Amino acid sequence: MPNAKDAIDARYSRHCRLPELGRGGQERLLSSRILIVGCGALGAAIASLAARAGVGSLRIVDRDFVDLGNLQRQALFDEDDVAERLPKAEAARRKLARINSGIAIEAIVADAGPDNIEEFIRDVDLVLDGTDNAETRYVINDACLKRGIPWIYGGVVGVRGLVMSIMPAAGPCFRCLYPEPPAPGNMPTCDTLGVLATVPSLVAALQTTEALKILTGATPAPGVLTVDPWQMQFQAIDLKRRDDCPACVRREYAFLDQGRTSRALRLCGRDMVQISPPEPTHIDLEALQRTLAAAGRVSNNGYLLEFMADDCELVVFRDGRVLVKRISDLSVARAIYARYLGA
Amino acid sequence: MKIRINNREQEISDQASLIEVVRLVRSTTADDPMLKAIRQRTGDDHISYLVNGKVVAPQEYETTPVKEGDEVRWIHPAFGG
Ligand SMILES: [Zn+2]
Repeated sequence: MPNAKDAIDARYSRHCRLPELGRGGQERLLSSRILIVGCGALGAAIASLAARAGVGSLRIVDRDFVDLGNLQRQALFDEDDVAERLPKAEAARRKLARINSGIAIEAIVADAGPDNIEEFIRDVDLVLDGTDNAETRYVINDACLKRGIPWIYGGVVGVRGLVMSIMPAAGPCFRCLYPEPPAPGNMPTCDTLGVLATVPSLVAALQTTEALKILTGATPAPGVLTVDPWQMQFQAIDLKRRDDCPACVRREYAFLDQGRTSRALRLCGRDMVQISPPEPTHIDLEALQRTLAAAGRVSNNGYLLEFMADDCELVVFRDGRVLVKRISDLSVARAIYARYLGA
Repeated sequence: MKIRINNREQEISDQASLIEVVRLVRSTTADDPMLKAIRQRTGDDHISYLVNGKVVAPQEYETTPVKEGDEVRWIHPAFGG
């Protein structure tokens, strides 16, 4: 019966031999706990790297399910997941459990936002950004600064990406880089501009490296790194705290404190609108299946319900969120939501 | 006077403000496929400008002076994942 030390040596020998980590560093990783918010291209690549590297406990939160268009770049997912319509967090958990059975993996199908983010980060050492929108990143920034938890921003669009480690005590923070959010619907996304398959992998590898450094007590890179692998141009940019930063200087957490209302937003990479209920809720999918059966075709895999009528196609999650497919107009999506979900 | 824009030395007029640098970057990136697409679709390129490490808000471009030897950086937007 091999002891724990031998098991660490066998599985993580390449880390144990690294002077930068050593067995001590590996043991610290194994006792670390991280949150990955979003499990699309960035999040899935981060989760895969972190699980193989032996980060002891991963919590993965994602609001979406696996779609054929994701397979072009999103590690961990395959055609079976598409056929099964698995939520990304759950599909990722199943794959990761086969990659590394020695770590704990928790999958949460939810839309991380101001009402639940503090619950998700309460016991983690670090947060990794795998999100696909600006809004959620402002919420993560507020929550992590408030709780004193480091987080690592990563973003991509087209052939370019950014990475930045945010250390709450030292700053600068996300709002030192982007003081105000872009107007909704006025931001270039992977949806409108596309994204080169390799760019999220590159950014995720840099983010995860920053995480491994922070978790083992090394110093993260200061400032922002911009990457453009198409031109093979990388820039390390010194970023200073803004003297009047509302988040890291004045400690005002406007995005965390905002009351949650029913929200509609277009999803990155999809011709689809997501409607979130004003408060966290739990939907009885079987009951809804019976109700909607009169109006169209319904199927339910236990995680989500799909509904097809003449005028629309909906996906309903247990947490009350609804995806309105093949619609990009927010008010049309809201009207369809109201018609079938009655809100 | 000479300043550095994304690590390259550039000559700009004396007593310039950041808006001159912004215009220069817009013209030198006019053919950049991604920035072009972003400008066409959203009416703005969403580039962030930093002077000596600090981000400047768009409403302050005209009033932010740029001095000899200043380090200006511009960063493309990246909010996807
Ligand atoms: Zn800040």
